[in-house]
Amino acid sequence: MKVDMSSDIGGHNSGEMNPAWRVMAWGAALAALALVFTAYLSPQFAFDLASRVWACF
Amino acid sequence: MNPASSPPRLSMSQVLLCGAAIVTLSMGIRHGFGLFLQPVTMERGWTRETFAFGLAVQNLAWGLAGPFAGMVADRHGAFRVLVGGGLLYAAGLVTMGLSTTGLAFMGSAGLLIGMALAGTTYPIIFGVIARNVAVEKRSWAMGAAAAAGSFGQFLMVPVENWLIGSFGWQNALFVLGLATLLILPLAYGLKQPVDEVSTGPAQSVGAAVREAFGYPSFLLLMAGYFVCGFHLAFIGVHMPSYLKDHGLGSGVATMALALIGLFNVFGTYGAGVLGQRLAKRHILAAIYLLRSLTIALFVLLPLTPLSVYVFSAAMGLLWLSTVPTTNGLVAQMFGVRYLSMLGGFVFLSHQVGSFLGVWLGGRLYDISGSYDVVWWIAVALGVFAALINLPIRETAVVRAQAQPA
Repeated sequence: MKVDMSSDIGGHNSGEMNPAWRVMAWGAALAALALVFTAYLSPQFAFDLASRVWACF
Repeated sequence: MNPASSPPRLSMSQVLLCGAAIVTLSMGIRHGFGLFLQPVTMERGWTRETFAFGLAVQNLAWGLAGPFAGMVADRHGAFRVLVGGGLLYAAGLVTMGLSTTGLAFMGSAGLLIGMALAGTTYPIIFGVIARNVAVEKRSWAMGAAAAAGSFGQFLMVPVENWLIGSFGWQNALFVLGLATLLILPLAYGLKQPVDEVSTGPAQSVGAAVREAFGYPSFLLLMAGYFVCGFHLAFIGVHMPSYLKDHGLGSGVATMALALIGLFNVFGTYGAGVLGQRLAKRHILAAIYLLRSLTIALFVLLPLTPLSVYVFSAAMGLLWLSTVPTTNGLVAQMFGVRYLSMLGGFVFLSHQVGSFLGVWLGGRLYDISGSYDVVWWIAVALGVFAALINLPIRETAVVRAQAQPA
């Protein structure tokens, strides 16, 4: 991955993102996705959501 | 000169954080509106058509208002449009909760929120990104912002479901209305002096519109995006019904929804990263072709929960991956000066496709008694979109009297 999320294009700083920060950013993003996905797997939520989705048809 | 070049003003981190947060809210809240169908129609005593008509008006208003919102953002800055959009969103959600007639619901959930979406979603945010992020990182930045919108859709379905279950549908709408007011301080992070907004060659709005609609590649791009809208709307609206017809349980539809949402985040981000390295017309052609292949296999193979899950994951990867790529191409062709407005026109084409996908899906089902015809239309449209994206020219338009920024 060569993209640089930390660089400020206005010339303030343009260095590559620190690898540790990059790992943490990816870790945080994946953790957030996993957390939301577990909500979909919760039986009570899944039943409730399925009832609402099914009610549309 | 390269019309894609422009002097950067805001830091990329600031633009990305604020822009991503705004589209997470605006795309996410709207994505959960289907959950309100049952409680709203039951309490108000409306038919489902009343509710569905309000949301259909919302989609059309979103598409029609897009070019105008984009034009204002291009001329006067995204800040004003985002503030106006955030206020309209809040007003729309609150009045949606207070509406007691179908007409009021159409005005609030339909017109107000439709216009609010036009002022707070991708074309407006992409305009700011394109003006402030270097060309070599633009596609990636657009992919990251679009992935945030995808994440919002994934996140807000459980959140809105929880709000409805915990506080009732009306209070849930009021809470969401308050949440949309967060767009106002976030918009401040995207504020630029008006003279810094008008970057690029001197050109009137009319000239920019004439130039775009006289450029074959722009028309091909619009036609491809029409197909994107058709696919998403047809699958999003009619797939649960299709599964129900084939005897699959509601739990399968829920898991399908979750998988599309999850993989959509990766697909959207990945498309932005790929757009930095590969020709965007090739990426778009591949996306549309893979959609056709995925749909064809889904229809031809026996329908099981596993086939639904694989289909959902694959379609999720291809779901909004067209967004950063399509808008990136518009910027490459015409530069960033009228990117939000031209992005709005392209999105209008998407919304017309969405409308047809929903309407034609229902109409052909009523006539033929199955969705088979529509699935195959979707396959054919995907192949068509793949082919028409291939001859698109990714170079900047040549302007006889272009002036440097």
